[in-house]
Amino acid sequence: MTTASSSVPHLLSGMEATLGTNMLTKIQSSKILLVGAGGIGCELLKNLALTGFRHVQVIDLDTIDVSNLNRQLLFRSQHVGMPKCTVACQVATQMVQDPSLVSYTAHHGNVCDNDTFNVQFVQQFDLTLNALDNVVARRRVNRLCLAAGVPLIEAGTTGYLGQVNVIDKESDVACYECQTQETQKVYPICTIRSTPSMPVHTIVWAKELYKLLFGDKVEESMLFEDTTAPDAEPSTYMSAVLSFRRARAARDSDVVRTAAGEVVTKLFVDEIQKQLDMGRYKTARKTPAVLPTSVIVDATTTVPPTAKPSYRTTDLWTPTECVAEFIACLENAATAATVLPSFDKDDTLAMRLVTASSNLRSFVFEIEPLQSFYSAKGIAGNIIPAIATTNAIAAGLQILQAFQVLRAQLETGTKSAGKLGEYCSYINCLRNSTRNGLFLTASNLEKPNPRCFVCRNATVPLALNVNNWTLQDLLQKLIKKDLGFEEPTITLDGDIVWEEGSDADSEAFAVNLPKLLPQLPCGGIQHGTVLRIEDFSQDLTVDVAVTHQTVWERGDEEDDDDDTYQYVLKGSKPTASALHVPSNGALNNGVGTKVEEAEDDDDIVVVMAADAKGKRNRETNGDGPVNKRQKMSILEADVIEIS
Amino acid sequence: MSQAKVLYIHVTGLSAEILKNLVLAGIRAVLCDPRPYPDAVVASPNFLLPCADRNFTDGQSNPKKQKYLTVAEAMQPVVEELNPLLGSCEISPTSVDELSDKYVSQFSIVIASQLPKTDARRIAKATTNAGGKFFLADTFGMMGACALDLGSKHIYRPEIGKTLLDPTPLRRYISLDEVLDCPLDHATNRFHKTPPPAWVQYRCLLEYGDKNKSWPSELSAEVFFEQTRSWIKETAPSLLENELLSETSLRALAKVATSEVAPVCSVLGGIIGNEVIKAISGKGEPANNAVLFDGTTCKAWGFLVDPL
Repeated sequence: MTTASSSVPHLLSGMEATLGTNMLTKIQSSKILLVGAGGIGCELLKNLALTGFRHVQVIDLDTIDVSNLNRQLLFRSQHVGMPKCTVACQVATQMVQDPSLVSYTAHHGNVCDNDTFNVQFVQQFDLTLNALDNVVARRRVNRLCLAAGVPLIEAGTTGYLGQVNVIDKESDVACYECQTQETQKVYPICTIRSTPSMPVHTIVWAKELYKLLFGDKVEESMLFEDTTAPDAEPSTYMSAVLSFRRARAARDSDVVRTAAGEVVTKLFVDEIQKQLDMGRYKTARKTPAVLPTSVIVDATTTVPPTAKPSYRTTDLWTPTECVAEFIACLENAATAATVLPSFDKDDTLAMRLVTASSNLRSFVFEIEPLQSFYSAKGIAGNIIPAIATTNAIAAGLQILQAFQVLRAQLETGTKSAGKLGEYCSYINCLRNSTRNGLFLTASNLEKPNPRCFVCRNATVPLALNVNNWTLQDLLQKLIKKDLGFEEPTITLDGDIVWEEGSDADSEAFAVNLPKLLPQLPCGGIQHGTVLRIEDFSQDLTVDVAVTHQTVWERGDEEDDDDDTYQYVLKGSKPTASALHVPSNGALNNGVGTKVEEAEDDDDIVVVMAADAKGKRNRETNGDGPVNKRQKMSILEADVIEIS
Repeated sequence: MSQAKVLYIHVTGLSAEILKNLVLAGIRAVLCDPRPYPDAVVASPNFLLPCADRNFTDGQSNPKKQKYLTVAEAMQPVVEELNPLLGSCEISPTSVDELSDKYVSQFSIVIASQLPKTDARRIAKATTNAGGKFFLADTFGMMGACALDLGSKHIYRPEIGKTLLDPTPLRRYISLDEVLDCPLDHATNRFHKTPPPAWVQYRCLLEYGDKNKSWPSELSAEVFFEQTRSWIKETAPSLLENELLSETSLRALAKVATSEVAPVCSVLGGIIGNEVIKAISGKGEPANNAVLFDGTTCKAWGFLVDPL
């Protein structure tokens, strides 16, 4: 029996004894929305099943990749290619004592799809759990939950660091977008393996290739394909890789040279062709093209760039040079006294191989810009692997906070009664304990940032050169991209100058798009104009106060002289959550004094030099909750890779 | 890490979490859990048991003939499926009582749950004498605790950012024997003027388990209360007025002694997983010699139980 108050032992006996019959009944009757079915999502769903939750709906966009199997515990090799949310719901249903009593529903889709996942959809739930890996989806769920009045439990992990936070508009606590953070990117592993679109994707891939070629255990690379299993699919490149590894071990230079050429052909020609034949890129924005045979042939007579007397680390290599360099790396490795079994950005051979192979992959996928040895090293050094244990901790903490939210609901008879600040905590997870021994610190939920335009309806001050911007520029570069509006309606002095979304007459206002801001109707956007932007899909309204500005201060690293689209968005900007520093002691976690955003659920995090080269600046306010959240730099954290 | 082998003695909801984290990380598992299946785990959130057997009827074991006789046998195929690259998952050929020093000495790590104190002492000694590390860990309701013995010769490399410093020994080594003998009222430090609640409760459970060869329950709450008060009176009388050791609190503890709450297992299992990886790799300052977790406040901390 799985019902509360049963007298015989059952899966939920412990829950009932610990939390009481009323709480267990509340848990069993609550409707939960889970957004994301990756690393944290799998852990969450497992915990939800084992603690008696019966009504859970899961949204996830992805399908299962072979590289997910080493962290996402609900997935097995037979699930590869299937939607994550569907499989996760099926497996979790089987974990409960009586599957007929539970309803775990999968939604294979994008949470940003407003037709399906809107405020009305979210309103049906008692609680939302976020297990996401990107800022866009996170702020989308944040706004939906604020608009729907549904408490949200947010979590993020970066390497061994993680945090859990509870967001609820009624409870006068900070929302996801109250904090201003530097940019940090997270990339799903399937992007790395199959659909790269940025240089960093190819560099992560190249590091895995290094592991595949030189690692102590070939199967530890995410590019490893097991061809020995009875039902294994044939691999285009594993045979060449293993042939190279054998030849290197035997120090057979002739075979190494042949095998090195084979590896190039298999990875950049045959494997790409296989993916094309499988139709993987039918709906992709860009279709890769196999590496031309002439590039490989020409490489046989090309001097590797690092062997040239004039070589500089800032040089960009041609594809032919990349092939020559790649083959030279493999040949050098065969005769070298030692080759590091794992990638080290300070090891020249490793960086030569990563630079050459990542550029070849970028070339194949038409990804720009190609990277020099120097710039590739900068990117490669900032990659932090995801850690399974941190996901488990974060997910467990989310469920424990969910208990607190449900207890508040049980005791108040509402979704929060504005009292979650009394029940819930902001929790940080650390690798090394604080001075007083804490591995998990818990503190009060933060107060909202009074300048947050999302939850406080604050006016956003904006400085830009109004004479350079069209309405189209403003919409795309700022309102949608930076402020995260999905379906904005813009009004000037009470009159609409642009609208979109369902029932909107966008065509009628399309004439305004190419107009410069001062030329818009109703007096246009000038110095001192306050424009109102509304988004009914997110129940969000913000006033933007415009300052005309033509002279800009430039940072040391700024190398772009074009001020056309320069702008400064003051106050809080909607980006990501912060790691919280315990107020009761200095951190002793060996990562310095500054923490970048904790972002990811399960994949690969790359800490970027935030906007260093961008055309925009931001000024953030030191007031409000932000000043309590110190940052720690975790650039290239020295973590033990679990993959 | 790929050479390491971890022996799990009694796989509870907590040790299933640790096992999952470590097996996914590529660390081999060996199971020692001869408890009868499924009766011994009907109420356990051990998610590494075969899903189909979850559907018990009226709390009794499935009336159809069980495929597996022990918990270890039932878990074996699921563990193997979790990370096929590790190959077959061994099962210890002997019962817990019969685990020889020689057998235990082959493991880098031994993780035990719901284990009588006497067995824990013996196995910890055999493990650490051979250079291994021993973790004794359980959850009870919203609380969880782990006592660990890294061995007198354990050295590690402290981390400052991404820099690893020179190897250093533990600042103070105290064997599990001494930890479990340490009077409760000595388990304090500058940040904990009174013994941490999770440690107080765990010690009470371990003492009872040792005397009675079973964990307390609601049915044995009276005996648990009387035995515990008597033990406290004898070993740590200054704590007799401690609220945690009142009749109400001890009866409440008896009720949840075997209650495993999945997210509590998940959090503590993640932290212990990290500590095991630190212990194997020798990178990062390890917890020494206890890890405690309170699922209500969501705080977890390392704590040195020091008789001095």
